[in-house]
Amino acid sequence: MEVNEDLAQIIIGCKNGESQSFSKIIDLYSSRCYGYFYRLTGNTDISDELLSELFVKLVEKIKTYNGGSFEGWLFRVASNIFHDFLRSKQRQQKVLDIRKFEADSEIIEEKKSDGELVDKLQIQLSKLDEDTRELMMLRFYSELSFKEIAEMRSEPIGTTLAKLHRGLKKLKENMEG
Amino acid sequence: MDKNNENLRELIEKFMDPQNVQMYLDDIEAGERILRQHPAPKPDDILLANIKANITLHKTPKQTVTFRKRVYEALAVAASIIIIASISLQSINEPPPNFPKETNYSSLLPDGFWTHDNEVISEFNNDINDINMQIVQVSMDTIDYGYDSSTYAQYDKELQQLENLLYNVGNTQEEYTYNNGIFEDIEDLENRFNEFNENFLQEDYSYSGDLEI
Repeated sequence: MEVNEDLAQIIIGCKNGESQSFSKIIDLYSSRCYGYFYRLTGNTDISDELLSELFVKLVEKIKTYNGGSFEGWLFRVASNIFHDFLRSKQRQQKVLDIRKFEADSEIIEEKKSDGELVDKLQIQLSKLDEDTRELMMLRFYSELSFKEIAEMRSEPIGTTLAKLHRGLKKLKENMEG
Repeated sequence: MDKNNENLRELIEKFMDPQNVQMYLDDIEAGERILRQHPAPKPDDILLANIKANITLHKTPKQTVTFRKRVYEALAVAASIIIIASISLQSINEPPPNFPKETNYSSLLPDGFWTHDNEVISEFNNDINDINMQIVQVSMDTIDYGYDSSTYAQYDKELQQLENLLYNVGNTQEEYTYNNGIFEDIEDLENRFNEFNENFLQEDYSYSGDLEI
């Protein structure tokens, strides 16, 4: 996806350290990025933290963006932050040595604890494997093309297509079942 | 062209089963419809205001975390691990009764996490894994021969910090690679890491079980 002129101006403003430009980026992308984090974690508190971290990283690293798809760049950072979170979670589990780490069940339990309503989609998403779930959310929220997503994931485009198709089909079956 | 700026039908014809294009299109459309029908919550306005305020503070030069600072921090954490490990090995007690008899450890970085082409980073990853293994082994030996769990937790916490710092270096590299940029600090990192590695290997961590109890 090409960067349109308005967005290009905003990014230039960000690179120059203009607060207003960062605010505009937040206004433009916060909902999509939040949705991405929420659908992967199922927890609003964690999503709040990850979103905050994402935009701090944006400030730190905006100078490394050298053109191309801004969404691709931003969601790559978001994906890295999510993986950091998963690894941190995994390490904590290991230290506690209470039980085997199972991200899906852990995430579901956490969101129940603060009284949030769990929508049916979130439950069914948690039944999919982590990689497929992340791929689906990346495609849906980043709105990147398959080519861009396949490049990001370092896999053939046919593999990305097949995984996404399988995941969405499984989700549909689960939602109807 | 769809919202993702591509012709999905063409892609499916080219990369999947051309005989069943419509089936694939229908499945994908049905799945994406479900996602659209169940929107995720929106971020809170207060959260966004806080983020904007934080960013205004964060982007001042004094608070910008530089790559070099991250490397220094990583080395500082590694040094603290070495000191704690040295002290720990001198304080052997009987192991607590409820301590796990066997602990499995593996690479701290998941397989496939560093699947990019950069050989330098791949070499770093191998070196980092080796050192992590050694540090974890030290903590395991210490545990086996008697140490309370809080010490192990401390080890683990510091290992995690070290790992995260080094991993962030990797992330930075990936993002540079993604944008076809040049990662000019990579040589500096390599030198500093080699220096750290040499220092680490000079320490005697090969606990043989001969310590007096």
